[in-house]
Amino acid sequence: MTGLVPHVLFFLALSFVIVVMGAFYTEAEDARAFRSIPKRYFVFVTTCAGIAAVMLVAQALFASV
Amino acid sequence: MSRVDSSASARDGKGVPAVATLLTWFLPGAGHVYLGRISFGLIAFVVLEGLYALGFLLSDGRSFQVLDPELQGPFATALSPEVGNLGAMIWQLKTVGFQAQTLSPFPSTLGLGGMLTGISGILNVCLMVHAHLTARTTRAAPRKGPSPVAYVLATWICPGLGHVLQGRVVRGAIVFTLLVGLFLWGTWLAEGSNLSRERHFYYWAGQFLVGLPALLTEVVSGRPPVSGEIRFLDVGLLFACMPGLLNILAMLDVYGVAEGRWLGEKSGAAGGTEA
Repeated sequence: MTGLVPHVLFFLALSFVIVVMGAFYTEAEDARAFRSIPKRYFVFVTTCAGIAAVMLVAQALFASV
Repeated sequence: MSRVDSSASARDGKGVPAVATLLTWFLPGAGHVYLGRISFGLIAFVVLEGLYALGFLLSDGRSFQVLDPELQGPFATALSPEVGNLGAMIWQLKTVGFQAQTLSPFPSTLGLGGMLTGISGILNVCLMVHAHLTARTTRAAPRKGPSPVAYVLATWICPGLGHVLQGRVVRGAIVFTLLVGLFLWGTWLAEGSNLSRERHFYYWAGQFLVGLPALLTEVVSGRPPVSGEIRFLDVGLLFACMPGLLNILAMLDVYGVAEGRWLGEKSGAAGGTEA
């Protein structure tokens, strides 16, 4: 568990870059792109967290290790 | 009628955009010859294949032999930058492949050679875009400013540069800061071990799309040796690779806006609307 916190922070940092670039790709206008970032970031992070939770549950239920 | 639709270009006798693009993919310049731009096509062929040949000679044709044996296969190089120059890459695989003909050490110029063949692939992708755009542009279409391909190439050379050249300075500065910053952060976390194609073939291919910042860092660092366990190696490799992949989005962004301006249209990139 000692590596969990830095890896979560790494994930949040990388997610931010992915979301910003995604917003720039989708919105050619800067103002609209900036406005859309918080919602996009929230959706991206919560979705990833949900997927991670499902994987952890699957691991706990089915993995033999 | 759209000024860029393929039916219009076909009626103008220029050719089918997809055919021009595919021809260029297999043989640089062939698409332009097909479109009637013979001189341009021949020059492009000489330059890009010459660049690939130079890289091939410097690397002794062994740039793919650094792949781990279990990864070697017919599609193993599909995620390398050389795939942009598909004909040359297939020729290299057919003539040399993954097996060394002699038991000798890798040449000292292996890295430089790999860079040149990779650059040839990237430049040919730009040439493919140019061929497609040329085929789609009717004679009546207005052309304002530099070709959109120039902005795409500028964005590969330095993330954000294409945006700045378009006058979108704030966006360009943000793109540069995020992508180059992430690459440098990843390089620091990986303690420079990412700066070697021999060590991390596929991660290297991703970070190659960061362009000049990645290439210069690799050249300046001199590929530092790995002396021990690297705590955040996996994160570092990911952070160094991801900016290259995200730079593709930046290239698409600048291309969409540049194409709209070049053809005198209002529509922006990727479904967005230009400011």
